[in-house]
Amino acid sequence: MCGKNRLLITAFLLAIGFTACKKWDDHNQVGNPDLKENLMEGLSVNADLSKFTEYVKKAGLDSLLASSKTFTVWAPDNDALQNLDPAIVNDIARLKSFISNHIASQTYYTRNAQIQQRVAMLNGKFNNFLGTKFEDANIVRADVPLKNGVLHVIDKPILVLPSIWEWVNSTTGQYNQNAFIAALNFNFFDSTLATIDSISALTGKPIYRPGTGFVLKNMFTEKVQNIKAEDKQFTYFVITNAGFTTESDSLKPYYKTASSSVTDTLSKYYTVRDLAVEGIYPASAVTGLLSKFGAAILPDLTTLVETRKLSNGVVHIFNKLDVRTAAKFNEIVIQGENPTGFLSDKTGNTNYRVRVNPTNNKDFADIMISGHGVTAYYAYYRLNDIPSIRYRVFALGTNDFQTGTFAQTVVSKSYVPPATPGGLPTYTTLASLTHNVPLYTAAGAYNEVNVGEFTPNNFGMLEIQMTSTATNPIVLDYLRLVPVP
Amino acid sequence: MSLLDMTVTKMKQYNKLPGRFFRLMPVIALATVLSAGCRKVFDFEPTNTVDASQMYRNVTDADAAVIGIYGQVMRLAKNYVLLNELRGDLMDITPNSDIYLRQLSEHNVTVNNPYTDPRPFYRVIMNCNDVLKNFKIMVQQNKMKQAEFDQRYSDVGAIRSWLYLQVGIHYGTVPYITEPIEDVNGIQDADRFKKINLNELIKELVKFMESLPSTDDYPAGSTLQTVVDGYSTSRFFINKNILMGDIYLWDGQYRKAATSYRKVMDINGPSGQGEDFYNQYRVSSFNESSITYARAQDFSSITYTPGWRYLFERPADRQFGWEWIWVLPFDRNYEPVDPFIDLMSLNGGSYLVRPSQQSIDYWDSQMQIYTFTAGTSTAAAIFRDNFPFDARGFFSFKVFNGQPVIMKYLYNYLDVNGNPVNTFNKSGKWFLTRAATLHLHYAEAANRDNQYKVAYAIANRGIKETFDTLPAAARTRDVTKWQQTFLDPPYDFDAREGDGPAYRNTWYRNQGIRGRASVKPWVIDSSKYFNMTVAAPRPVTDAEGLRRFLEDNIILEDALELAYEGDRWPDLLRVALRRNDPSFIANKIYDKLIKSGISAGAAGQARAKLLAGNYFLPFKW
Repeated sequence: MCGKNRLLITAFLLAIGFTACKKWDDHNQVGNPDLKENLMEGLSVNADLSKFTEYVKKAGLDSLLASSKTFTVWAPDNDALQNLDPAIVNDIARLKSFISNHIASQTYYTRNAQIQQRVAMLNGKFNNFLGTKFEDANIVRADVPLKNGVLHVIDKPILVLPSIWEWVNSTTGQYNQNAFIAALNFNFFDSTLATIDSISALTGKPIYRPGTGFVLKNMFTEKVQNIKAEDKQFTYFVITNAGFTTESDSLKPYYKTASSSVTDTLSKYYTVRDLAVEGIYPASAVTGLLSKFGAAILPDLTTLVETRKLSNGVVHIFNKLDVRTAAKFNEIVIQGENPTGFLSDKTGNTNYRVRVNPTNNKDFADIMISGHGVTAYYAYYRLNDIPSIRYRVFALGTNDFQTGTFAQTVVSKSYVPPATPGGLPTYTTLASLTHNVPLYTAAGAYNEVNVGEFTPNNFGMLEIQMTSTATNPIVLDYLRLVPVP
Repeated sequence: MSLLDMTVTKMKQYNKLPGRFFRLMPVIALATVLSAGCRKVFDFEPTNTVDASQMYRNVTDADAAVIGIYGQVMRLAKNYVLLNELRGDLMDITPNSDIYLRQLSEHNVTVNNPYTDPRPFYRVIMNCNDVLKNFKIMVQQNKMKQAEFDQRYSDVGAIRSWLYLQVGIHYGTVPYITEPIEDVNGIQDADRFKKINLNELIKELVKFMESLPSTDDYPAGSTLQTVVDGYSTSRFFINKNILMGDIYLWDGQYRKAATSYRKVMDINGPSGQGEDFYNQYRVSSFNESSITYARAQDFSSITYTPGWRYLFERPADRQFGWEWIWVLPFDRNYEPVDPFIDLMSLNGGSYLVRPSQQSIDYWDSQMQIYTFTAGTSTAAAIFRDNFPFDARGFFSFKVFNGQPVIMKYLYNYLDVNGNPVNTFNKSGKWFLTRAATLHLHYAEAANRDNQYKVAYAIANRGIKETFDTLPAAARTRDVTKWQQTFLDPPYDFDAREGDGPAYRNTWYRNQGIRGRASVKPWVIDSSKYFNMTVAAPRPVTDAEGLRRFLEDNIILEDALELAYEGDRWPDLLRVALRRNDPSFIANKIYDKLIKSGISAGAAGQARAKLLAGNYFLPFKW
């Protein structure tokens, strides 16, 4: 190709380029005039949002909505706000919280809410967004795009509700149950929050400034359901005072202790721990609901006092609500191969075995101690928080290692740890149950055997000692303790 | 460069000129050309390679040639293990594997697959041919003594036969060339080099191996029995008797195979005493090679060191020599680099192959015995049937982060937590033959030679226990009439161990392959194979049934004991051909692929292909 031609082509291409430039503005200019406006401007131009716009300015959130961050606003129209409690409007802090309850960071379009979204609002609460519903309000104008976010117009104000935890604390005078839960607070030391004064030259460990690093925690929120959490939803049940006393008193026999006040606390705790479940359930659908601890909740629906919606769930208040006593107590399975300890160290005689059950060809693990040479040698299994209820004991252990038959004893003892450090624990023998270990060839040798029953006198710790007869072996796959109310 | 290659190179280095000369050379050459262009300038001898006239001058050169051949063999390690294991049912691919490994595993190999190129094998074969020809010239010209020739010629001849057996197993029909040719590619000349099938090849190999002047190892004091870079060369060389036995086994000459194997089993002579005599190659209970437990029934008390696992880790010490027959070491200081770490390790490697679920299931289907009654260390156990799985599996592979990893090759590389001791220290071994391989192949031959009880004894709990009417009874009794086979060679075993009168006879420590691994012996349904209406010794009524039952179990035992050591595909193929039963191989491959999780789709096609007898790879030059 000669130089002349090349020049011509270049000139031609340049010409095309310049003519195309004329239309360039059409390509990248913002077509939708809404996108030129930020949220604050978008609110201002809508006459039916004038009240909301006014409140936004009053609460001092206008500059935020005009900023370059991205938000979604669910703005109630003027009709929706006309009956708003003037107390909210006149209290700047409450107004700010109320307005923030309609604003979320990031964009949420209705198309993102095909399944329910729990949206974090600026005030720390969460609201449910599903299709064209925002909490109870209907979205009357959806998905208005603006420069820094999305605007939805809704037909009801979304009031700021207390959380279940806040409500519980505000009604301690009214409901004994709530007073009990609120009193389950304890101080917890969190070293990451504490101020370090110095490092001890003696131990090399930090010395914390007294009084720092303590967090108030609550037994109920830690162990049952965290009703403080805003991002989840719970259904919480309250029994009015008379019914609560009846219900908790019915548990007292099982939580016998030396002190009546301890027993009272325990029986109340074991009552309330079944009274909160995760998820929202209307009062009509709660019968038979299982608590976290596996007990069915059986309220008398005719005694429903009130259902109250709260920011992270719902509360149903009943005069009478029953959780069957039997359902409160679960069976306990003790695996033989996981003992807490032994009478003495006989490691060389202790076999943690893997075996095959020839009847179903499945592997199982057990413990077998043989040749230990100690009369009444035992492996012990310690159990915590055992109620004073009758337990039926089933044992499984098979003699597949020697021809001589033998028996072993399941000794159950209540265990009270030493009162002072260095002191001796107190044991009380509850029962000694004989387990005749079947030879592997016997019929049903791999089935568990009912060896008897025992009942702890008090609530507390138990120690099960799997004890040898004389110096005979011990073999145990598992023990199953079934409560018999 | 491997330590084996080193010798050759060191020899070559004698002629090397100083480096400065090379740097100056272009200048000199240019100057010369410019000034004169004299032709004589280019007529100098090559300076960094050995000219043919400088090789094969004396026995040291011959040794260098032998070592050079082994150096080349070492470069086949990766292909050897991949071809023999990935085509079998014990090794599987991982999600990291490339298409070519997948082809090998799924029996769907295309001609461009680099792992199935026969040329690397033929390159070594051609070198062997050259060495063999020159050895003959050397002995004729008295450059080497006859005895030295016999040893070296037989060794290289055996290596060549071993390579041919390998290519025969994988490619089926191959050219069998025993003369040196100038250009490796010349073998494509179909007129000069006719291809022969596996059967004909084996006949040729039998003929050649029988003609070798020596079948013994290099004697102590030989220049090849030495220490190179800290490694004793005593396990470097192929065992000619075992190769002879293997070739007989392929050929169906079972008595001769057993005889060849037996020579190695009696490596220290038919009678003698001392630790080496009782332990070496006898699968002895004194070998530090058993599966043992500190507490007989407690799996967590399994012994790691010494024991069966330690066979794959231990340095080349005395006990190592009692089990291992042919092992080639990979050292971090020399080429070639250990290929197995990259192939198998999850940490420090690419993790391209893993144990198949099928091989894990083989171990899981076994039952262990425990040898002592609980609490005592002497009385025999009474109940032996519910301690699940084979502990050899526990030591052959390990699961890291949910990924099963082949461990046999990695014990010199990974620590107990599965992390490399030193990422760059990639030392390892190529496991080729050991006493267990020998005994299992012997059992396979004995079984086919109608010596069922000997085969059973060797593979299970040993001669002493099998040939005794009271196997667990105390040794204080008179065992004169028991614990021996009363058979003619090569099945004559005397394993008597008694105190009154005193016996500690040749095989008394033999504990059998399964006895050593602490697993239950096979249970033979006597009524199925024997006439139970007459008194013992009862005649066999279904010899073929019994033979097949034992053979199936011997092949399974190969999988349990020798997994991933490069024996699987030959074992399966040998039996499938012997029985003329492709389903023997096809169903196992099918099961592996079905259980694989990433190859199930290819299972049906692979089975159909193998059922049609298409066992072989395309021979693409």
